[in-house]
Amino acid sequence: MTPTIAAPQWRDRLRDTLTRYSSLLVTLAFVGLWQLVVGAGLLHNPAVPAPSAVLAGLYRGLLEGQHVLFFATLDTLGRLTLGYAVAVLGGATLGILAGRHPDFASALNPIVALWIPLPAIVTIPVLSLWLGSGEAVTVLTVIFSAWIPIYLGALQGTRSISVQQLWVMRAYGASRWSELRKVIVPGAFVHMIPSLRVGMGYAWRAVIAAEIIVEHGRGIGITIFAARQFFDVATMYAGVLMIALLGLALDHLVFPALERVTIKRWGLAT
Amino acid sequence: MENSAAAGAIGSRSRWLPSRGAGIGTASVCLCVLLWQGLASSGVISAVVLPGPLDLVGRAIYLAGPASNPPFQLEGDILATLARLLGGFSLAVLLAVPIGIAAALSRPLELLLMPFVGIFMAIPALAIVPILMLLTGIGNATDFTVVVITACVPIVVYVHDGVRAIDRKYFWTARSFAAGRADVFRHVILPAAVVPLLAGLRMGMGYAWRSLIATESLTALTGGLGYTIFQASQFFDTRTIYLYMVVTAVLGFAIESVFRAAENRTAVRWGVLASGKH
Repeated sequence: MTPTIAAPQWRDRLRDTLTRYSSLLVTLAFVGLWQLVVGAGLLHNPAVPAPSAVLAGLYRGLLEGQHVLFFATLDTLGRLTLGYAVAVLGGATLGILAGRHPDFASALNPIVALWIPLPAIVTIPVLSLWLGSGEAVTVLTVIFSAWIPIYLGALQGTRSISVQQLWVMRAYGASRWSELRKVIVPGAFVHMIPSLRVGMGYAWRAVIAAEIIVEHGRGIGITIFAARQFFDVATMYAGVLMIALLGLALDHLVFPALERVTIKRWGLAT
Repeated sequence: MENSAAAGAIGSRSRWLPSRGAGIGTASVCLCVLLWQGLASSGVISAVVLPGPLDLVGRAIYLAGPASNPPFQLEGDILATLARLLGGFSLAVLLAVPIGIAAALSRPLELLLMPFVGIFMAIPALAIVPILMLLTGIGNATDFTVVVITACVPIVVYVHDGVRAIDRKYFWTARSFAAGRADVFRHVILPAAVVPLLAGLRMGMGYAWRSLIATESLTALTGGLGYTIFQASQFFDTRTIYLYMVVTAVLGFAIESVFRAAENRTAVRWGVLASGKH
């Protein structure tokens, strides 16, 4: 009796679901098509493996034998975390200093302006000269790459703190330390969140690139390049897949979670 | 958006004390160069590890002259890099602008295309270089493809966002005045897309520039800044390493300045500010 009413509702709900998961569905459809084309032998290029072979490569790398890809991923994430942490601390400190002291900002300005378009990769030969090619070079490349957007975010955040807030603090006899801790750092941090995200993007690019060029120890980038020498195409694609998954996870899971925590913690919604 | 904060430092200051910020900036650069030269000439650090600015000037004159091998190497490398960059970038613009506009105007196309843009956004260009090397062979083709891919992604994203953000009322108004598709495109879509397009072009150029230098170091066979800097690093030709680092920074700065100037002029002309979105 009611299909005329129920049908549109059902159709709407289906459309909503399809729209929400459209990215996933489109990606899956593409992968399915790729599998069909390669499986049917329409595309016979040794450099393009079937998705099933890539997944098998991913499984092998993560769970079988020496767990090459698994440990490579751990090492990459370790370098990323260390470099990013230093970049956040250093960039935020410099940014807050520059935001509070305009002369310091003026002194730093031209250096930052030249640094922005300098590909972090270019510093690798110089760093290797000073430090030999090892972990330190990769981590420093990440730092050099990620500190810029974080610095700029902290600078802007500190500038946007209202002077009145500081006057109130001072009128109540607050120490410089509590001024910093209660007003300046939270004020700067809220504006820094987008730049933290950009910084992570830069750090992520830098860590993969630096690994490939420095070629020291283990890492996803190194695994991909090593696989190329043995023409192990499945592992190469598996490494890229791993990088894509981690990149998407960083951007869609880690940062939204961090934003929620921050907004809750500082009680500020921007 | 990134160094608008830095630019603001000079702006807000110079309103009160013209040239104070600029003066401090100049002084800080001079101080850095002097310190560098002092450290290099003092001999505390070996000249192999840290050549001074004067050494670099000498090296630049040598590499830019006919005596270097190949002759005029510096100019040749700059031209090779710029040719790859501009060639790839032009193709990226030709591809990305129609894709961005089409994805913004057609929902099915948007659903079909944007997931891939998101995936490419998450993959650093250098990670796919080994695969590209297999597909296209070592050499210019890989560099070119990397530039096209890395430049395309931000341009598509910005143009798509910009056109999507157009108020529907403009379309309705245009249509109620009997504007044809061409008129809507010319008078509604294009003006709205210009400012985000310029922001996207700047981002795309920045990404492409970085990836190109890195890719060159791995795949180029015939010169280019990234190629020579890593070549020099294998021969411990440290003066060339430092020189090329400085050249890359200055060239990157010049490219960025061109785009920023275009963006500022357009933003003023159209009476809007570029979206600060990344």
